[in-house]
Amino acid sequence: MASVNFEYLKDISPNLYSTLLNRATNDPRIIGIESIKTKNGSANMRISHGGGKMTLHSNYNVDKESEKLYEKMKFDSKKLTIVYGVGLLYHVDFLLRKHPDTAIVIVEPCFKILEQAIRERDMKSIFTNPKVKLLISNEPSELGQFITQIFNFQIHSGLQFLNLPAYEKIFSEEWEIVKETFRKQFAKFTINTLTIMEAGNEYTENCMRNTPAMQKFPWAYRLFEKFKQIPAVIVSAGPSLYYQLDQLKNLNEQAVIIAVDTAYPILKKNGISPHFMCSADPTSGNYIHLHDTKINDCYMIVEPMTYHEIVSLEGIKAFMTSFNGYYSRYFAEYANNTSELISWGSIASTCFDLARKMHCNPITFIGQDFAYSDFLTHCPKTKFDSKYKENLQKQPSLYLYDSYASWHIRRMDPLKVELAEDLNGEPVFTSKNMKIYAGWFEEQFSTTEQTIINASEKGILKNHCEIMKFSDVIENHMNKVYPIRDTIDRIYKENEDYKIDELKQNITTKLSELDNAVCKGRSTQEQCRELIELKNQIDQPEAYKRISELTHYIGANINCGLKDEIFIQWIDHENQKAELFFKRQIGSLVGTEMSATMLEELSNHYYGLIESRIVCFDKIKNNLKLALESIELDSSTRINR
Amino acid sequence: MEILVNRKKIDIDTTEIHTLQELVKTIEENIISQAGHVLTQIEVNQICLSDEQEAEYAQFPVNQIEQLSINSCPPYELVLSGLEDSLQILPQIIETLGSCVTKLSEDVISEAMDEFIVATDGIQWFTTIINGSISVYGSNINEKGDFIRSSIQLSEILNEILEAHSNSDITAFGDLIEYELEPILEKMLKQIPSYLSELKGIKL
Repeated sequence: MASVNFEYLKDISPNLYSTLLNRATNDPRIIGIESIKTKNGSANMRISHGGGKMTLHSNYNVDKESEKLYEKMKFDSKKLTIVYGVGLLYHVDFLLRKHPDTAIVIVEPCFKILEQAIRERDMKSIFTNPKVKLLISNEPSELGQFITQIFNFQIHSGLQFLNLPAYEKIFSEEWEIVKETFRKQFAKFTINTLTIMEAGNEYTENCMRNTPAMQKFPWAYRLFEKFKQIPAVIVSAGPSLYYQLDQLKNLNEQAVIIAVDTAYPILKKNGISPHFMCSADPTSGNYIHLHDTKINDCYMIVEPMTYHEIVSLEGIKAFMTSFNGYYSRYFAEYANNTSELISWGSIASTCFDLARKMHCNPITFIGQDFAYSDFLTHCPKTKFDSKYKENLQKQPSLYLYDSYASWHIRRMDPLKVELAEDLNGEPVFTSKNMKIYAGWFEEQFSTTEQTIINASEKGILKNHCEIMKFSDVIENHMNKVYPIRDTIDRIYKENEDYKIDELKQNITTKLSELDNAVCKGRSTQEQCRELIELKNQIDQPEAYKRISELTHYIGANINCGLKDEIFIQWIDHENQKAELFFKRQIGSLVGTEMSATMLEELSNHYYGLIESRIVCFDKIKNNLKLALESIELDSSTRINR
Repeated sequence: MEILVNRKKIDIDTTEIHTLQELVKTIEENIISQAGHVLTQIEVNQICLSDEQEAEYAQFPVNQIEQLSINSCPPYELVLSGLEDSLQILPQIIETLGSCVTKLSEDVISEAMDEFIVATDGIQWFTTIINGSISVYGSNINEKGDFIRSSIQLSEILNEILEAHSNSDITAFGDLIEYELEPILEKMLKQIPSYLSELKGIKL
């Protein structure tokens, strides 16, 4: 048996060294490992496992094998490279020969193989390579989590794989878990990021226009813990809601009813007044459900980013909350309590968090299908149905061949529809996003103290909650009357939450700081110009000294004198792409040998970064001015009244 | 019913014969074997039967046969023509194996296995020809000749491939096809003409 010295590991990773040295791992997946030689005498191994024996690398031509694996991966420098299986690292050697600067993450699902591999071949060059990260764990979901942590959404455009076929065969189930864990984590991240990025402008504008509402309405913290052990019903607008409306109508102060904004008009039409309606859509999308409905029978829960026309609807009574976004975080600081609630993908998550923070118990869901139950895309009798009626009116003969059901089915995106098993064990259509949302809720349920009941009677939400008929929930849990509406009315009147004058003052200060920042930025840009002028005088001591002073000064003043953390967050948000580009370019020049070209590039990138920030300062100024104008307009309107 | 053996009309008493299988067996025993020949082709009512059809037609009633034509030849002729055919067939087998290797490296395992099964049929036919040549020419063949040594090597490689396959060792399986099986078949393809000459020079 070969015995290569692996003392080098002692310094790099003492724990790993000691584990591998002691051969302490016991892995039932591996029956035995045979040392073999390739035809040209290189080390190779054959692994005996439950499904047979597997040779790790080609016995004939490891280079050709590595080349084939490399071609298969279609290397893209923008993607994060994942290598599944340490093996004897021939494949990694090949990749590093082709791309010496590429960062590689090696995922090893088996200590036992590594124990032997390290004795078969000297792997020092890879283990000491700072570009190579080695993730070792017998627990595949842990490996998936690690990859998620390493993956940088702003740097990597995706993942690419250089996998040893032997590993894909021996550890195929583990590999699926690694990928699935990563996929789930990644999807959670991107869904929230994309929602915010897609609605970027509306989000900011709403925050500014909604400033008066932050003073007008009390903040939601006042409701927290005020409904201990009182049952709550969360009403979503899924297709199954239609079946529960009659029972919901008969509930009279027996449970706190919290509706999502799209469900509210359905409830209203059926004579049901929820206690709360949550709305946080920054676009006008959900406004169509509400604009012609008088919302005087329930309290809204709104966020600074909620579409401003909703927040200013006539007669509206609301409580403010904050999802801790870029701007709402700032505005929430001027409330007595930031009143944070969760918002994750669907507004039902906010309803749920509200019920949880109000200490309601049990918390019951209805109309929460996360599926196209009965082949319906939404609850019948909502505003969406008017489109169907409009179509029929335009072409009266349409009803002959276009039924209500087929109209719904056509609204499903065939590319995104997936088959799933519903809570009754029946097949149902859903979508990838709805599955992710359901998964998020189930995960939240598992860590919630209160009893969670899904009484939707349809759909895919089924884990970590009790599945009950709504009639049974009412009979068993909602058989007492509580003074719910009176309590909310009383709390609503206690509105002394917001320090609007302090906010106005702070905005004024910030506007003046931004004006100064523009001046500071322009002056720093002058220094960048001077730096370029000196680029051909590096060899002259005085010029060299000045270059050092200038680079130090520019680097230290890149924030243009803005020190407040909130400014840095806003700049990051508003100037995202430019920040990423210029900082990366500047970063790549740091540490390189000083030359005329290097100085010119450095100075140009600094100049560009400052220019983009000056444009960004203007945007922030306009936003803050809009907030100030909204406050002033509101106060003058009130005076006139 | 008209019965032809090598295109010559013959008479056979069929009163006790009920099926095609019984009729062919009688002709094989009484005529073909007597002439030292082996049966090469059966044609029933002008339908030339393949190996599969032979099994299907085994119980075909004799009273429904209008014409039966049987061809036969001496075994050495069958071996020589088989070896000559293999000059055309082996390149096709090698090409199929190449495609199998490509698909293995592309991770399209099921398609690779489909290709391998096609190639295996051809290799099985080729080894039947080789074994036939050994059986017909016996000790007259030079046991240490290149082709015979290659055929022994081929048999060893096929056993190794079988072992890799039963272990699901996809690395060794692909390796053996690419670096052992394809080269040995290419080598044998080059050795066939001289082996043919050797066989043709042997007087049986």
